[in-house]
Amino acid sequence: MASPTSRQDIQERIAHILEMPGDEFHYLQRLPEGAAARLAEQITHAVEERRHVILQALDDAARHLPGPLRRKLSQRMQGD
Amino acid sequence: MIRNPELLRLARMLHCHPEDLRPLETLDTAELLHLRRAIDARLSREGQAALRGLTAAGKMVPARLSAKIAEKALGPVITAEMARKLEPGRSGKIACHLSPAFMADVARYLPAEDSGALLLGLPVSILRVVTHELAHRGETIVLATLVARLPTPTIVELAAELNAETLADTAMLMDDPAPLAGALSEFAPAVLADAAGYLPDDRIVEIISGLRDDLIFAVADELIRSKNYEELARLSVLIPEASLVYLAEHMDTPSLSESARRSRDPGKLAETLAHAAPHTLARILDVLPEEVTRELMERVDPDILSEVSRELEATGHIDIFERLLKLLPVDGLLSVLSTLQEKTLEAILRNRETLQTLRRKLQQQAQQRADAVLKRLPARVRERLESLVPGRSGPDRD
Repeated sequence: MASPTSRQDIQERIAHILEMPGDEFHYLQRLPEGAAARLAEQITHAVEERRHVILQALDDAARHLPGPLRRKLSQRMQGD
Repeated sequence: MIRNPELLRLARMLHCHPEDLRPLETLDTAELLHLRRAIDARLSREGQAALRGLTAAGKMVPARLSAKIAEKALGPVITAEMARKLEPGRSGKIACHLSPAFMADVARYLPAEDSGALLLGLPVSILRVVTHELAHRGETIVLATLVARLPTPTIVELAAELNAETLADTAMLMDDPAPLAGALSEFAPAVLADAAGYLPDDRIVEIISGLRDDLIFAVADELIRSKNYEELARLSVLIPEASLVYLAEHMDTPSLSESARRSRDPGKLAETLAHAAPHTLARILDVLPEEVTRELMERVDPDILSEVSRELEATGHIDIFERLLKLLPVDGLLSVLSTLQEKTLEAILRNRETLQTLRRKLQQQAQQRADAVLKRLPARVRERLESLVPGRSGPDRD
């Protein structure tokens, strides 16, 4: 049987991934522990995949942009 | 099969199969919405600085080049994310240069909350192409999200791109089908009739409440034309009462008979038909199933029943009375008999079986009245009285 502590841990973990306060996700405690843990993994995976897609897209985009624009983009991104 | 729109959107966002999220069905819609928005906000923050740079660079090049870069290099996820950061006018200009397939891909990644503002910036011709592509791919949750955020006149323009199954799926997955219901008059009745077959009762009721009567009748006509009496019977208990009465009054007798025979709710059908005009009732009484007729006879107003009797008498449908006399409660029966002319009465009562039925009913009523009186008397008096009646041992005996 799932312990309340581990459910609370998963809730906190999901909140941490989503960069939000843990108590906003109190409803996740109603999920079975296994389901909540899988959800945490799915969210982590989605965030990592998004990061990968963006890096890949930036790489590809830089190759397609005309030279002067590529330099401007590079300057802007370094400025950030 | 998961049909909850929020769960389907969440599954799309997490790149997983909707079935993987089945345990989340225990969460209510507001909680699922909160979770999806939180995930969307987190994904949107990922690489935000880089995306700002890309978006700024995108503004410096012509729309055609932006579209080319989006399609060749950025892919649909980033393009959808950037589209959220651009003003709708600019998004619209870029969209004009994107292929339909890529536009449909981008639409998949637009969050429900943002898609409305973006879509409104697109020319209808582009929306039509995107709708066609999404329908072709069976992306109904995306279609439902898009359609829900479009004004009714725009949905009307897209009607030709949706077939019956897609239309039904889209209606099923919309949080509120009202915008779609407003556009349904533009769909061919045959498509609507087919689509109704895919929808559950509760969604049909929601959609029908927004439909004009003439459209309901056009759909009913289509079902009659295709002899789809099962569906006609199902719709007949879902459409508003006034529409059903009108439909019953205008439907041909065999179709009404077939539909009534298949009705899943004879009580409701009878309840509604009880408000039909006397001449309609006179026309349909002969073809209704016994269960519906019995329910109808209990509900119809005695004055209306008298008019129905006169109508039947005038049209020479004496044979129907034999059936009615068996089904009518005694009050209704007396109301009918008192209306008829003497020669009609004689004709009816000439039938031995009818006469016996009538006698039995009148005896039963007399007995019930006597029992009701006896029950009100003190027990001692009641027993005394009952002992005087041969064959009776108590007031409850039949």
